[in-house]
Amino acid sequence: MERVRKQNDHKRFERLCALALTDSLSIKERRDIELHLQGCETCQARIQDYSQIGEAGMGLVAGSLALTEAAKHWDDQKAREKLESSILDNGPGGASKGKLD
Amino acid sequence: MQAELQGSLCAVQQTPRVCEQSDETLMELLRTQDSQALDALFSRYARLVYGIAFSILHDSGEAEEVVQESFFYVFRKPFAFEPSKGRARVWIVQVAYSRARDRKAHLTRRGFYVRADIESLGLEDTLAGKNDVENEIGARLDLRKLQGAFDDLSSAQQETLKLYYFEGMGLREISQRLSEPLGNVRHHFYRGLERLRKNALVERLQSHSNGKSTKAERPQEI
Repeated sequence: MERVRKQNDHKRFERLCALALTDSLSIKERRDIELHLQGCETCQARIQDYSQIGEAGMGLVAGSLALTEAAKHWDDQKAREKLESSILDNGPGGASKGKLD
Repeated sequence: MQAELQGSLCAVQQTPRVCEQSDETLMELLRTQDSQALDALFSRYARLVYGIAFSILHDSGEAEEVVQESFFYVFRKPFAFEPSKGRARVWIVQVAYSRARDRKAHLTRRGFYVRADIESLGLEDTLAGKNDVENEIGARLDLRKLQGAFDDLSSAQQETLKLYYFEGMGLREISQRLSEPLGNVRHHFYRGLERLRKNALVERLQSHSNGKSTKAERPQEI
């Protein structure tokens, strides 16, 4: 009985690990997860996993989505010119090998 | 030399030889600071990068900054791309996505947007060092599995994660947008993220810190 209760409690914290990345935790939930994280390595790893999926993993998903209308009609000339001047401005540091020196 | 760079970056036409190269070959050429290779990659992917950045930042000027910063990084750090870990296109998209998210966090902190962010949770230590794109892949998770896994999520889970990660909306806003109770949106968010995690988990992994082999959780059906 006690084991089942602990499992259910932990399930709750696993859910809170994901939701901790968002704006949707109540003050109590926020306090609970902060306290729990101090002593639970599993949840520390869990929240890092979720964070990693959000920070890098979703980038993979983003790349497979269709171009938005805003992107289709975007004129890239200004960004191209800014890129060029960034490279020129950063001179030897930015172009330490080969042609741009 | 500067004139040479200007000539090639501003030119809309690249030499046929460069245009016909694969992305991976262009990345190889970038290692010798070949600006025509950069130009070719820019022509292929600037729009895609802009689209991702705009979805996250909702501001054309900011998205354009991300485009410029991302390709500048690609030019300066071609050695950070490791062909054995995936395609160049995917790497460029990840560089851009990571920069757009960092930019979003920065602007949020400065009050450009009104949203809760991770710092307010006091979780910075737990998540420290997770923004470095080069260190992300190949650790505890195999993120390359995510693309397919995302397609397998329910439409409610996909929609929730897209609105959160690509449109930059909070769960409360998503709840209003979808006319769903916040509890349901929280459920979709957690279940979606957890399914992605289970799919990406590497079963047996090497610990970064002590070099010991540890066993990760086995993927389960959710």
